[in-house]
Amino acid sequence: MPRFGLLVVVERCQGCNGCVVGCKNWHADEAGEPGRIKLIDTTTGTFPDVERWLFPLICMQCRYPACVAVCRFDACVADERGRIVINRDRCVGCGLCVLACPYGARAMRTDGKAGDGCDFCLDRVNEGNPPYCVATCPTGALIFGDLNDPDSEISRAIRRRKARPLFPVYRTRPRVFYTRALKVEKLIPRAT
Amino acid sequence: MRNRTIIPTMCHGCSYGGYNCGMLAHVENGRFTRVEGNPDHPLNRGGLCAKGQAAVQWVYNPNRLKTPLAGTGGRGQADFRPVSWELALESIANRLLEIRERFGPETIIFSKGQSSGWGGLHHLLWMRFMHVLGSITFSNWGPSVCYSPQLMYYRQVIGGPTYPRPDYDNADLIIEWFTGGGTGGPARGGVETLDTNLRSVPVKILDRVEQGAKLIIINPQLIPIGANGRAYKWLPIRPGTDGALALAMMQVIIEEDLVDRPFIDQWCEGFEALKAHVQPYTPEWAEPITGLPAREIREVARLYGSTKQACLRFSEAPQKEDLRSFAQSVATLMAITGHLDRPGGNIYFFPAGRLSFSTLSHRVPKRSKERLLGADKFSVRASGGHSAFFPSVIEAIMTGRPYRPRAMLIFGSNPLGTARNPALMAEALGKLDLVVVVDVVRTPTTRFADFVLPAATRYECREQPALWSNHLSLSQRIIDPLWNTRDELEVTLELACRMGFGDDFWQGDYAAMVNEFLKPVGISLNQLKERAREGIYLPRTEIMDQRERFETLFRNLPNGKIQLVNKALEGVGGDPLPVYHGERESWEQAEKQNRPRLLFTDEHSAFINHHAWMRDIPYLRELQRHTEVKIHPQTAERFGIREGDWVEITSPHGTMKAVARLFPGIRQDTLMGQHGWWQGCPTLGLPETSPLNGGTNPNVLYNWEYQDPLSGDISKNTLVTIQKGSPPEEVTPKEEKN
Ligand code: SF4
Ligand code: SF4
Ligand code: SF4
Repeated sequence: MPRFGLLVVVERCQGCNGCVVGCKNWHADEAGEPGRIKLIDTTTGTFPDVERWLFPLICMQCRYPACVAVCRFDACVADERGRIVINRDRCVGCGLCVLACPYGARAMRTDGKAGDGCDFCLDRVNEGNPPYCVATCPTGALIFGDLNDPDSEISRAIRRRKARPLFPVYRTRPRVFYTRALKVEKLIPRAT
Repeated sequence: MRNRTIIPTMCHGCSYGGYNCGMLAHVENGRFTRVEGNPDHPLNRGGLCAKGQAAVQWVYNPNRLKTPLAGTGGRGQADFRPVSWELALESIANRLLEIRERFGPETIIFSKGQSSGWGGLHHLLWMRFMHVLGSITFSNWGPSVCYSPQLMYYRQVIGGPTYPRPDYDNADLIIEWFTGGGTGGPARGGVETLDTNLRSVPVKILDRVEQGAKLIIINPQLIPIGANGRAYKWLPIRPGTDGALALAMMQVIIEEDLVDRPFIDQWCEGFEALKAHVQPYTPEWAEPITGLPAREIREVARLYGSTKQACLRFSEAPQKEDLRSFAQSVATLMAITGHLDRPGGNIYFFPAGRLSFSTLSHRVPKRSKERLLGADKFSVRASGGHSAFFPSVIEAIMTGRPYRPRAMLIFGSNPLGTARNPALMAEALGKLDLVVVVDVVRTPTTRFADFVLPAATRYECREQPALWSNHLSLSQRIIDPLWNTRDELEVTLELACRMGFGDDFWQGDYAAMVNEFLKPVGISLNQLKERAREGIYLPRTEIMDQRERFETLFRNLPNGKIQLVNKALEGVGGDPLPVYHGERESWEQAEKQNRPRLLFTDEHSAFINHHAWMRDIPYLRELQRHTEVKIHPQTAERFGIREGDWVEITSPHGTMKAVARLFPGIRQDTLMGQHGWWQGCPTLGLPETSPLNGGTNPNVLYNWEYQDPLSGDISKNTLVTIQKGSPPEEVTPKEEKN
């Protein structure tokens, strides 16, 4: 059974928001809704020795997802391949998942229900295509594939670039990896 | 059962109607539902940026003009009543003929924006229309401040047909000099185009940086391409002082003998004079002007001088009163270091062919040609007198000298937003006898129109081919025009026919026009349609892949050589050798006027819109709701400003409003705003704002009389004060109700 994962090659992200708007375009998500991807744009350091950081933040597709653990309504579930799926009909809008997710990857929609988090584009992956953001990123900053296959592009890239997930301390075992993870995780605003 | 089709076309988020990223448009039951990148298109290879992916919202935008309107109130009142296309076109045709008869064809001005593309089908068709009408006054604000003024200097100094563009693919050192570093067209990148001069292509830069090339950013702010640890060096230069930096770099390179002697001996004249001339322009001299430490200037100069494969992309829109020192110095720098037309340096672009048909310029009467507005400007003469200088057009409208223009046809342009100054533009529009605006959406300019014609977006229009390098690509119709909108190309053909010009306009036959446009490359529209997804590759020509094409490039220069002491420029009142003049509003001015040492300029491009286009698109607008000004946190503290505050920025010439964005990646003495903000976004409950003084337009801050003497380039550098303010007044649209 493949275990899908995503690698964000931070060095290649230009911060264009192609993935952010592309995701909404593909899933016909309304403007004003939280969407599934956020772009982080922060600057650290003191002028002129500053560093600007640009990278997308999405649901980490955790193996031990905090969101699923706290959901009392089985609205937030892992499918048979381990991808996190939101069942809108079952969601009562309690917001526990928003509080629980250590990555701030969940947000409430304007209709009061949990925003459908990223599901790695289930529809596309089932048809053998990569998730939409991966296909559309103009710079190839996103790599998708099977983490269980040591020879897949993603596995090789993770090894070569010494990528790792953000905040392993939470022990949710994310399937999304970042190059320069140690640097960028300091910049992520935590969910309150 | 869903009926889904996928139609290959091109995006129109960058170069409207031009060569753009390949797109696959999904249509379900007659509705355009979503887009994806076309993996077979060499420019983007399947990627799309944010703008491209907002295409569906752009087409179904409730803000669009929906039906032809005729103005009923006075100018600027925006009182309109809907009229039929038939009536609108008949009235426009009659009035144009009448004006031509009474006042002469040269009193009819054509104003076309960047939004409707440069050099492509739109451009040629409209030029042809004007020429047959008998006028050559084809102009707009953009070309008067952006691409062309600087190009004039490049041609004068180092020859060549266009700008020499960076050969990113082979460069070991990449210098991005006051550019957006890819923000102008972030998905463009996989193919060699002239674009690499208009827009940096991020993919190529990233690839090369990953392979070890050094990236240097020269910009008052740290731009995205320099983020994530990519910039080897960021030189936060004080805006407007780039000429001083370039001269200092030249001084170091010449003093340390990092020049390319054999190239200079063979292809340049006057090197000894240049050497003596730049002696005083030391990095120490440049330090207090540019705000950059002399040691940094020295280091960058040494790197550029000693790296064999080093390329520069310099802004195509430096917009300086002192454009000359910057343009002359940088062009010279590339030449004497041997980086011109060599792999990894700055090379020239020769496409494999051109799409074109005759614009019938011989039809323009002599008298009309002689009365070209702005012909006193060297830049207008140097470019062959093909288009008027827009500020001269405004002056003529205002003063009636040398004559008063009577009508303006405005296609996809909003001079009220782009002109400096907008109030003067508004006044000028009010003085014309006839103003026709053709656009996709309402703009501040539409309210000055006698007729507003609603254009369909390119996604609703017929086939439009475009060619770059050797790739021929096709834009196709995705859905029929919505509401009562029409393709502006078809409208132009119809207007021409109504005016009795049918013989010169294929009797209104669109396909015949496109086939003539394609004829020079020997491909028919039907052939191209069959290959719409992948396009057609023309055979490469020999010259495309050659380098060191100096004989061809310098052909029009005296003795076929680069004149380091430029007699041609001297002859028209310019500097034979580059001299630093600086911008008028400098620190000395600040002192004199008792103002804080605070400069303002605006950035040329951003990821989520093309100039003013698409700011009303919800997907894009939610990423940035208001116009912003970047301010250093220390400066903000000094002026009592917090993140997200509405601020008022005042120059000696006007006041604008913006939301403060605290950004540690900008100089403390510099504010950077954005141009092209006035649109509202009803979906997100955001109101429209005014382009006039007190609104959200940085053009009110600049003085349009601060022009580079030869090129007419207009400064976008000014001294300002900043304070906390209230949100800008809301403008209530009136065109909407129709
Ligand atoms: S599309 Fe790619 S380059 Fe653009 S913001 Fe997303 S990850 Fe970064
Ligand atoms: S990142 Fe958050 S939302 Fe996504 S699976 Fe993990 S806990 Fe759940
Ligand atoms: S860069 Fe973006 S807006 Fe420009 S043509 Fe490509 S997808 Fe369209």
